[in-house]
Amino acid sequence: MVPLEFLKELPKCEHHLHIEGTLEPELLFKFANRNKITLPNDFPTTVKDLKDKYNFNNLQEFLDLYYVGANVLITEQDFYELTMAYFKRVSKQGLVHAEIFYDPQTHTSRDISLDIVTRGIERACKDAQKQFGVTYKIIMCLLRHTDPKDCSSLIDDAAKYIKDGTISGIGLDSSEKNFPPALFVECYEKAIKLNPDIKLTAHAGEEGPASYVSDALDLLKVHRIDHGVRSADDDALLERLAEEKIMLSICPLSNVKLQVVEKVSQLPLQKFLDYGVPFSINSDDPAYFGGYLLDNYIQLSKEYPQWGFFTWGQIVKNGITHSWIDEKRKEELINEVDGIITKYVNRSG
Amino acid sequence: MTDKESNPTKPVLETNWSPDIVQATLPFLSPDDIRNLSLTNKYFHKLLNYGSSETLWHELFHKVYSTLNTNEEPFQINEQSEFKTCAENILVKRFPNASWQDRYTMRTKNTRFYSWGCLRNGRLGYTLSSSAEIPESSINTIGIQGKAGINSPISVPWIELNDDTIDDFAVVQISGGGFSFQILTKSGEIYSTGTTFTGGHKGPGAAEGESDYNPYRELIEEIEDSLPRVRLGGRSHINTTGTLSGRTMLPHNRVINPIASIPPGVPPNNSDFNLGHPHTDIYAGFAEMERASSQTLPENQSIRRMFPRNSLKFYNKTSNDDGDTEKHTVEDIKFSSICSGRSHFLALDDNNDIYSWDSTDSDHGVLLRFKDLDTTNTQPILKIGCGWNFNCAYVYHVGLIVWNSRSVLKKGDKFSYANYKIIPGTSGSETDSKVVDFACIHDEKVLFITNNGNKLNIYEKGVVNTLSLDITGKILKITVSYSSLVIFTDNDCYFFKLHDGNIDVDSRIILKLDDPDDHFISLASGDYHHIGLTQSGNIYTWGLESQWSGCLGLGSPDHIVDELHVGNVENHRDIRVLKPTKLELGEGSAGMAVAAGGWQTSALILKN
Repeated sequence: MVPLEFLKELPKCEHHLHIEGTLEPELLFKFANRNKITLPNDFPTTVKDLKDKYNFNNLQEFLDLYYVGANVLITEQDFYELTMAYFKRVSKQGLVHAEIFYDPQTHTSRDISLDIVTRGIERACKDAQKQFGVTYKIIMCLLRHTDPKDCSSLIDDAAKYIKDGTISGIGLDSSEKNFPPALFVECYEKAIKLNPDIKLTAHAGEEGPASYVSDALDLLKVHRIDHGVRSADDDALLERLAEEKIMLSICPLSNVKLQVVEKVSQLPLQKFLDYGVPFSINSDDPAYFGGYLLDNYIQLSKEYPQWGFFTWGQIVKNGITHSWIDEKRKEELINEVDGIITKYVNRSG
Repeated sequence: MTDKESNPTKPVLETNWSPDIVQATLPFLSPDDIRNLSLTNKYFHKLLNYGSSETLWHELFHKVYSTLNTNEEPFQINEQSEFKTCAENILVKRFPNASWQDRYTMRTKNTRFYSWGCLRNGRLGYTLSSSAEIPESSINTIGIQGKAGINSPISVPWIELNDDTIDDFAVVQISGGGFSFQILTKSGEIYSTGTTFTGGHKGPGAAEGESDYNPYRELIEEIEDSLPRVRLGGRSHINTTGTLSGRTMLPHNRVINPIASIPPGVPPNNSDFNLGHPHTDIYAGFAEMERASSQTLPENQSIRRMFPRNSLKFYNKTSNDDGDTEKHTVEDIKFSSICSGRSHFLALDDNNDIYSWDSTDSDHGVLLRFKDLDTTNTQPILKIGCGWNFNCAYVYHVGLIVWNSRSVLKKGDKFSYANYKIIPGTSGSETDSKVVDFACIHDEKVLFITNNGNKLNIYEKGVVNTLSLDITGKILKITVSYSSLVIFTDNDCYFFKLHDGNIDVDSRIILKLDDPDDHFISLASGDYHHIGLTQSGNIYTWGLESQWSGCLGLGSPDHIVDELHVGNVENHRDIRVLKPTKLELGEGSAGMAVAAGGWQTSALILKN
């Protein structure tokens, strides 16, 4: 097993992080007080009790917390502080680049404007880049369980941000089954028309079948797949992902928490490596799902002890290569990875 | 008082009906009616004996395997003494000495569905990982590992046909959409290949900006409504719609192979991160809906059964459900014909009802009604046809009607009204003006021919005009695709290119085959490629094979270019074959029907 310090030192990119899923109890209470929000009667009243609750036992408990959590976010400052808190925490774990999801419909449906949410997150990203040297991209997700015409309206509303590059990518999340990629073709096409350079991704193949991954590639023309673990069911698809160099943004601890697998070692990551399918390691909704970026790396290192410095190096380099950053930064980061590998190999030798 | 009542020993029909009359009546009887009639007395038993009657078997073949209710086949023209469909023509030519019983049996037992071309979305009815037997040489590759498509006809994994299944699952008809094929079985069920027939593109369904009632979304809202509300200072309770970020959770006993298999009741191991326990499934309602409305072939996830919306309980629930007398079950609805547009398809059932699959939002067909038309009684629908983005039907005593949208379905609605228009001057049934065939282009542009067969009419924007084309002979049949028009006359088969729905009169080609005794009788086209079926049951393809998709079915790119010498490479990954080139079907094989769409092609092939 590689040493913890090695994992910590690796320059990591995160591609699958829902910013609303980073709301820690301290901030939840802070925002609720500041915004004069009356929490439900049976809601925990202390940070400690709420933290205990975060070890929820069933989906209903998770949703109860998640819904309340999302609803305390009201002002631009709330979104700023939420986002900054994430960067502050994870920059200490070796984060060098983050591509952040946000779900505007979660907030616009509560009469919180798209501008408030977007500006708050973007301002934090800019400040984090200055303070921590972490580069960023912002990905606007469509909620697939909502009516596609509502998603289409969101694209219209976000046109200025898509055109000026504030929103760098479009994603698709929420309940996968019964809401296949085909429903959102026109939304994605609309986004491309607004900005031909926009990047596209979609959650697929987490609870949905491998064909959702193929459909996301063929119909939505995505550049990346979020989750995609069910791709392992289809060898031809794996060959395609390898050939077309489509990266999967894998979320190990989330997959366990949501029972996609029983334990991290059951994820088909070795199969992905064997087929040459690139993947990155991510935290998804870390406040709720058991750990931030480095926690996911650590758990993997425990359950895949056969992965040495070079395998880890390759995984991290894949994440860098498939990040939506310029070639110069990619080269810098890859060189940094090589330097770290050399250091640890020489040290252990 | 009837004869039977006056003389019970004398068969009622024996003295009154000549064989000619009986034969003329057969087309209007169902196979069961014919069987029952054959049991009434010796005379009819002899005439209609399944074991010996040529008349009966021919009629049975005609009933089951003709596609008379779509514009794939024209109406019978006035002076035709005997009308044969494509399949009948081929079988008579190919097996001149066989009886109709033999031909019926061959068509039923020995005909299989084949497909080839672009693999995307499982549109061929199989994937590289499915149980289809695909030789390595039939796979076109791009780069080291990229699989672009299938370059020769592959038998689509289907239900094994035996005595128990033959009556249900023999394939009667195929049609090609932009992203899928539709398959009609002998039992009247419809199947569709791949994961989507729309490709995500809106069909001629509810008008722009409107959505049919969707019980899935309603269920989501119910779930969200059941979650806690938060009160803002000075404001009322706020809604929490849409806060399900990420995904749903899986039930604790859901098995996902091969990644994980969690026995019911066994909690997962906790990790260092206190990963919790199994979760309850508040999405059980979705699973229930999915079970009721989703069905694939056994061992083949790439072929899905297409259900009509009014056969599914969760669409039909209303507040006074008990009073609902129009409830259908899946078994009640038997489809008799299908046709496909780019992102939609239509089906006609044996009650003369049209169903439309036209929404990206639902895989379930919508029952259509036509205001002021009595289509189930006095004004039956005789033929249906699909254009790129609209529909057309021939209605008895009314003529051709077209529509590109329908009313939106609200909760509890049993049917939707098609927003149709009548094409003027197409209602005639007795004279030369009777419509014989029609073909649909796009944007409600329709070509049609009449009984006199000497001119091609075009309907566009409410007006009918006559086109003057350089062709000779009487026009018998017309076929249209996204990019081509084919006119079959009693002399020749003419091919014209279409540009944005307009006929390029200078592009005329007479499609002739090397074999002077053979000629095309049916043709289908995808976006840029064509497949023709001849009277001898030979299949020819030509046109553009985009991105090495394999849609011509002529083999690998190298084989087409360097060995067959029939095509050239264009734009690095396209192959153009100019001349209709014969497909190798194997000794004793014959094509029975062809279909194409997008970058994919299919055929029903009799393997004798």
